[in-house]
Amino acid sequence: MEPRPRHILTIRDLKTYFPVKRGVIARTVGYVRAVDGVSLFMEKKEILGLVGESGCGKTTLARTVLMLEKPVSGQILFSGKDLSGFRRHELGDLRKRLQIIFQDPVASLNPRMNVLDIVTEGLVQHGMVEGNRESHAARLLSEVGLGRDALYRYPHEFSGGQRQRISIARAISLRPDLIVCDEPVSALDVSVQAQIINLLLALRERHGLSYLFISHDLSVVGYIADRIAVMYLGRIVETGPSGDVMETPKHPYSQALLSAVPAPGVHRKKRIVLSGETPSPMTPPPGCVFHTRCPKVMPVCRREIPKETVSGRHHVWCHLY
Amino acid sequence: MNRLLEVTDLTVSFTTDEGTFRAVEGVSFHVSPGEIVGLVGESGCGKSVTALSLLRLVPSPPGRIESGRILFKDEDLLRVGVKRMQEIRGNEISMIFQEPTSALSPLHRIGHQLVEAVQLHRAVSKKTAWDMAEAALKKVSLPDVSQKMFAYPHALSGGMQQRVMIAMALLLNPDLVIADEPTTALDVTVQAQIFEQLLQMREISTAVLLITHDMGIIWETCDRVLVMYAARVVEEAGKDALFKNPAHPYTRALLASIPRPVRNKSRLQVISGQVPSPLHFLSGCRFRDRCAFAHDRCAREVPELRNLGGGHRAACFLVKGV
Repeated sequence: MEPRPRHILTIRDLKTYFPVKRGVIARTVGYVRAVDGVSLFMEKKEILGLVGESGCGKTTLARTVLMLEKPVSGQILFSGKDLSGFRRHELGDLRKRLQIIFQDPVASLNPRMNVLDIVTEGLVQHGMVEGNRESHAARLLSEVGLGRDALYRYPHEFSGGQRQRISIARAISLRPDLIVCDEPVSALDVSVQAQIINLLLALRERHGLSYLFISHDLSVVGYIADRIAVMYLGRIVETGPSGDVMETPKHPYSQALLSAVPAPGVHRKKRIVLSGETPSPMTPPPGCVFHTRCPKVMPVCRREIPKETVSGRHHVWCHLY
Repeated sequence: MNRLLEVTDLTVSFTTDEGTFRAVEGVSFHVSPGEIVGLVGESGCGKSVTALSLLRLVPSPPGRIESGRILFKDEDLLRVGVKRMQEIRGNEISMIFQEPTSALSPLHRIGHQLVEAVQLHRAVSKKTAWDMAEAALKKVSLPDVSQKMFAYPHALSGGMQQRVMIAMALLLNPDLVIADEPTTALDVTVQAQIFEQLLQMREISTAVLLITHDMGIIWETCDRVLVMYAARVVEEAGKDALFKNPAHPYTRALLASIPRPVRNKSRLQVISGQVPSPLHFLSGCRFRDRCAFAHDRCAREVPELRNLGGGHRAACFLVKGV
């Protein structure tokens, strides 16, 4: 995938492995292949939804993009610059432009810091406070729908939805280009979830943000994302515009995943129930990683890793196509 | 219609440092044999406390069942002795909890835990109990059953653990299974496997009371639904009626705020404000501060459940009863 000027992020054949150590001398006995050869791109102002089940490597992929994990091989180009080429002290400026919102706002907000300190910590760190810190923070809070009265309160005084608003205020404080949203609404009640989704969409419009939106909830991703990437056992199996992936998924795994999503009020076709469990990422199956559970498995799937098939903007990695 | 379970006017309160509040207030409903009834609501609405009260598992103190009647096969569970209650738990009414990891003992093998459950209620030999346990695990399609009987819970994945919990719940052919968010901790494809099993319960005429916050799950599995908000039941209806003609503004708003994958993106409808804390419930209708249709009367009076016909009831002044 060649980087294009309108691509904010280009990932090429990225691999992130974690060593598994055993015994007293902690000998490396194998590797967990959390991300195993992923190539992706993101355009400016795009929301890319990354879906997959627990353990498929979606969070590791995001952490690698943020340089919180070191990849074994592969390339990450952010605005055309290769992130792996930077030294630690050079990363500061790039880090400003890459932010994250975590799933659990209780764990990701320091309970001993008040909201003012939380949302301005990054600004102070990067020497970006213009004028009064309070007014700066108040402006950020008003962007996320919180009042000035929140400034001197502590995270525990807020509800789950409000805490997530504080995390969002912190994430946008450094005027980033790309925000990784790791399950940002999964811990929230449905009525509050909708408020946060709308807020994220409004902020994208206002600031021209791109989101890498990670979730296991396909209805949320289908709603918010422009494009969707489906991940299984460390690999991307399908990508395409949201509507295409949601309505006509091509990969048998995407099909099963989508058929398992309850669609309230719609009588639908038979659910595809996959048998068995996801194999261990320490010993991924040869050939297509999904062949052990695939309802349409063919002999070739057990031998060869499927190549990419493209139709329009819809990409799929499956021997059926 | 014969009723397996009939709950009337159940009120449960909790006393904390910050004061006493009612987590469940005046809740009434019934479950017929073989029926799957959903209890849906957001966090803190009292759905889990309702479920726990049925088995008298609300920790006391701080909890107290203030009033109400829970008729199970014509026996009032709030009046029976401790011994009888122990006979009922796990035998006639069993429960599936949200987190199998914390519901299974980490120190005992799967087989041991299932055998213990059988022998507690049935005077059978260990051999018979073991066979029953194996059969139950086979029924929930756990792979390599004879081997898994010797496994400790940590060796199983979340989905497998939840299947063990379901096997345990079905072990003694209970009349009623209470499932509290049984699939919340699981992935969607595993969730689908668990749904299939819940639906199979209906075939053996076991009734299920399914507690969830997810309208999608309700749609997939239930026959009838109760919607709870701030400790009260605000709407009760058959599944189709609820999704086609939701009557209470809360139910309508809840259904409208579910994101649906659509091409033309309109803003999601939002219920403004927060889920209220039980310490600060409003007078009158508790949804009024978030309701687009609230008027004077909503602040003065508590709306009763009004009958809309066909078993559809809603607690709102705007609903025309029959």
